Amino acid sequence: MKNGKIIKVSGPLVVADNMSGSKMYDVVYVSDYKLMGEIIELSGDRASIQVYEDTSGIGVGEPVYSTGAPLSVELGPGLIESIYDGTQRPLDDIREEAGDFITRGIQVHPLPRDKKWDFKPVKKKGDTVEEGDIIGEVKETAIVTHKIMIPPGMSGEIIDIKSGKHTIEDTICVVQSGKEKHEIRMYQKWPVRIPRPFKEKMLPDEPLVTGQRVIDTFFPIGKGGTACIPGPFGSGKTVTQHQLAKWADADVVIYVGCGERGNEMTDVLQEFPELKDPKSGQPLMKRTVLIANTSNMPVAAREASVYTGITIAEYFRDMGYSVALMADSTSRWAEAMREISGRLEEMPGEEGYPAYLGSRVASFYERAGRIIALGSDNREGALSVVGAVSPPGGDLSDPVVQATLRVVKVFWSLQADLAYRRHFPAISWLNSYSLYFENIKGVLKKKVGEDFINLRADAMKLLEKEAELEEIVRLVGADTLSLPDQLILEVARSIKEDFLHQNAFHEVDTYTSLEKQYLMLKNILFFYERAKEAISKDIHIKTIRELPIVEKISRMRYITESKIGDLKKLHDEIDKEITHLINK
Amino acid sequence: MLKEYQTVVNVQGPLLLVEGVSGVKFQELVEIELPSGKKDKGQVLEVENDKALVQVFEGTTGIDIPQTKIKFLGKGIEIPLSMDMLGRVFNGLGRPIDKGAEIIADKMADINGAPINPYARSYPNEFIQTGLSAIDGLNTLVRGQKLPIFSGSGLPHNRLAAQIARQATVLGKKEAFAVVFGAMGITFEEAQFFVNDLKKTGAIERAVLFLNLANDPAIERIATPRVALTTAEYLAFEKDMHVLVILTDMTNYCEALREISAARKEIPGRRGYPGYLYTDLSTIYERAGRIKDKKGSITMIPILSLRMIKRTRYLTLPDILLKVR
Repeated sequence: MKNGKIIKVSGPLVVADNMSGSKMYDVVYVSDYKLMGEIIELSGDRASIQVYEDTSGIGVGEPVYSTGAPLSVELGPGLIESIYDGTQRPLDDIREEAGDFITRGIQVHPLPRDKKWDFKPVKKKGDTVEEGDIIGEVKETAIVTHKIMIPPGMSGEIIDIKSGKHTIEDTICVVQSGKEKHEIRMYQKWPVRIPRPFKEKMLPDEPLVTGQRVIDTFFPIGKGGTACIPGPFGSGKTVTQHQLAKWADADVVIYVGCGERGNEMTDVLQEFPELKDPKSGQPLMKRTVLIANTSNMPVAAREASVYTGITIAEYFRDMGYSVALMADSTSRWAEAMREISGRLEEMPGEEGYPAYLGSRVASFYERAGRIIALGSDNREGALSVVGAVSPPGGDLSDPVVQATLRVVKVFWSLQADLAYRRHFPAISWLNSYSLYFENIKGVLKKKVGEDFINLRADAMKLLEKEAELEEIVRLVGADTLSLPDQLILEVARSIKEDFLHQNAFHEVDTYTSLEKQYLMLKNILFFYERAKEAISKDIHIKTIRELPIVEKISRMRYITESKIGDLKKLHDEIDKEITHLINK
Repeated sequence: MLKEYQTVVNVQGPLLLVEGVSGVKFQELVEIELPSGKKDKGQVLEVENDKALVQVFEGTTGIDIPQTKIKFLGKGIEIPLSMDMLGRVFNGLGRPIDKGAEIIADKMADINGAPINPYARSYPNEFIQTGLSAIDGLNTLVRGQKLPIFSGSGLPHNRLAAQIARQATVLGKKEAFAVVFGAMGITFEEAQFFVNDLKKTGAIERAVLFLNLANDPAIERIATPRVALTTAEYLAFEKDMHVLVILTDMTNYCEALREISAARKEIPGRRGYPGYLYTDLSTIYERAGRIKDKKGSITMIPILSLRMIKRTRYLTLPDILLKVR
């Protein structure tokens, strides 16, 4: 292959000429350090290249080697439990090779080449297969069974299929179509900027249960949905993301740490192997893929990291799994785009961001969805995407936030003042919204309880009413309110403190099942109904507030999932105590 | 023999444009010989065909077009490192200014460093007692993290930083401890305050000072925090010391960066700061941390004076990056 020659170096941007024959987004290796880069602009035989590694010491006249292929990821057994950088280089292997610091030009295989996987075929010789068909399985970890699929664009008759222990490079299956023979290995490559194909897209109809009360009850995200968490610094975006990564009932979780602090990734790395999946009891790491491009790692690789993440996520989705992708934070990704755009001397849009910011953000989130995968078995997969956005100063008019809000369906608004009051998760119940509620209503009714929808609406009404009353309280004080209104304040406080507030670091409180959420909310609202009745019988609110049951309601969150029956008993106790009060 | 060029075609602000060069590398160190015979240092910012754009650290005063000589040294900016640096005072580029001898290098290191592999990091969890209840009680300082001080003119941020440097200890442990102090564009008085404070407590023996004062060349400030952190990395990860790095005042650093960006006529992000400010700052801040299986650590206290204390200021965006943790 013909080599190009560098004519300009400016930070992560390198311009080379003699590059005719290259295509947009082809990967090239720059200079004899073999720094990985990607072509982002072509003009005549000149190519602008964004380089994924530090370009110090690179000069004019040095060679550029084309590969003729776009930036791709390797998809196959060995993905789970890995920690990759933005271009799918495993960081643990880099450490072994280069020590504690990341030096340049290191090339390591994304997937282990020497490890042998136990391949169990599910198809046999003579079967006809089409693209996307599952031909066999590999038990990758205790939680995830890796399904080996026919790569897109291939079909035919199986003329040979093996079983037993193989490395990913061994041919495990041969497919013949006409005169052509395709050798199939356990891994395939896919360019990151192109969405993986599927048969059909559908609307999300099932909630992605996260165990977070404010999310599941009030602002749920559907499986295959998109959500965004914008918020000022210190309002708990990262903790919320971690909570979702830990507890979301997805089969596979991809966590992209994009341009965030190194210590945060370390936190994830240390915590995930220790935490247990509530369903299987296995360490959470056994269903997780981590992608870490910390803020001091090369900026161009940060731009690639979200694409690397979503392509891996789509691959697992194609196996028929429910996958959740967390990206923290997409602002850093947008800033990386801005930086490269600035170096290319493009005309900027808002605040220096490139004019194509909106379309890039939209096409990224659009890769989420509930789909019917390729293949004859019509299996269903879902990919949910949750992106954090960190606008400067928490300003929601920031272009990245606005571009994101135009495409996502769930908005969890983190508020600095809630965070200052130590109300976590600091998701505002008045500003946030979820547009999936209508879609998943049916499932919630069936799974949780017929009246769950009404309970939620009632609780929301109380919270909204409280916000109105707060205005009056600020002017004239709480004592001037009528007793029913005072009761509303009391119950709204209970909803906020006993239900919405959730301690991520408490063993039991960190995760609440839907059933428990339902019972908790039901008890609070039942208490409201009964107390309203008591007040109408001239019982003072102070007497009600002193009931031992109020204390018990506030401790509901610490009842473990196995003792969920206690919540039902509490229902009767509320009834008993207030009836007793009325009859006294 | 290195080639010498006399082909400066343009001098503008802190930047020099040199033509007809060959074999120049990005980020290469440059020696500039002024007509007066004085030698300055610079760094290549961009190379295009036979042109090189050079930022001059010590200011462009005295540079002319016909006579100024340029030499490309074929390497990045490197500083000599050794244990003898403890107790010494250097300028913003790492040259001794305390009338002492030159440092005999135990090791030469590029000041840009390399990113710590996130996989090699160890999570900061050793509590540092600073003796300040507002910090210890509410915003605990942990070894290997960054604790920024946002301040304004006239507020006692220096006293606070000095007090932390003086009192910080990990409970119940005796360990090698060092302070690396990087001053960027602060006044002589402010710098002297730190020197005196360190002397008073005897901590000066365990301190390395890099001083770029208000009247020193502004562009030199681009290198100062990197020089300081390269020293800190050496002390922490090769000599097993616990290093506290105080960087003051990061606002001046950002302004120097803005100056260069403006001189290059780059498209600004917010408030005239370049779009890559965040990335640039993170290459400084993320050098704090601990590494698995290494004894030492780098804890960082950057000080920022905001022109107006307002959280929405653009500068706070990248800076909060180092918030808690």
